[in-house]
Amino acid sequence: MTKKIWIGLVISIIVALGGVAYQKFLRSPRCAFDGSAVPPIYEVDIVLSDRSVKKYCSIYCAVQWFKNNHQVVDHVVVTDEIRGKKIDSYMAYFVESELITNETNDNRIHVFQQRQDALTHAEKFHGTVIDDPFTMDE
Amino acid sequence: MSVSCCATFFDVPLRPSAMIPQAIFGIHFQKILFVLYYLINIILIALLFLLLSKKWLSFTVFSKKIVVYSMAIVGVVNIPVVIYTLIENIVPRLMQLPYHHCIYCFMGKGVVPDAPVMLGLFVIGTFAIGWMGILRMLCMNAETQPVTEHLLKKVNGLSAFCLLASLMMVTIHLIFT
Repeated sequence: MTKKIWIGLVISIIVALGGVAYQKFLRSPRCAFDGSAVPPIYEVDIVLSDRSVKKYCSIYCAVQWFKNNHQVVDHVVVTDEIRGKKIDSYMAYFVESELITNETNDNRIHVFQQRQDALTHAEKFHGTVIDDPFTMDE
Repeated sequence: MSVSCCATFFDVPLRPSAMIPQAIFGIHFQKILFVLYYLINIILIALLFLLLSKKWLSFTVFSKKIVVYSMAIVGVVNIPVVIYTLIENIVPRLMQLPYHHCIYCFMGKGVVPDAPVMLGLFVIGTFAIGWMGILRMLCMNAETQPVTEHLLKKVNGLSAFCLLASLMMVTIHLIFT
């Protein structure tokens, strides 16, 4: 019995170390808020003061993280939904509409590089242009 | 598209997994839960190994009853403590997602590939304590005593191993992740 327990414990230690190694060296990037896969068209990158980057799957997740950690953020890069181009958040147009990008967290905020694209989306999906959610009130 | 199942349910400040322990232990409930998690598991594992040791044979019937009943109580108390500690402390740390408390993401998304093993070992270890209790209650008959005793030792060993392995795996992840 004792021998079997020892063998089992050694196996469980090996499995745990394997899990740690996978997490550290093999896993592909996931949303830094909820762990979901990051769809390229809705990707939000938060660049920190130390130049490291955190990736998020939606504006909702990025804003939740940003609210608690804005003091360490250098700038935020969002993705234009039309062209997939990455732009700084202060240059983007944000529209909150009836169209959901992520059904589970109910994210309805869309990002556009062109003002005309934002207005067209707002008209089509009954939305309104909103302020950049990544600015902190003074 | 793969999406999270639960960000709006498990991560809100008023989630039940935070409110219930907070009501019992106060504002520093996460630290207290973490200490309790290790304390109760270690006590339980020690009791299980005590039952396997040779010293157990020298115990009186009364002391044996006390140990067995305390083990059953500690085993039952251990269930909510482990569940709340996992959701509030361990899952966010192991997934490296400090604001995400979803045990389903922990289990099923492959973020921590050996998470099902960790939880599975805990479930088997806990259930085995219950199985031992049922065996003790139902098989008091003198004729079946030798068979029952043999079976009890096996289930006892299984329980001790599963709980210890689960605790060790969680500890290794907490240290190295």
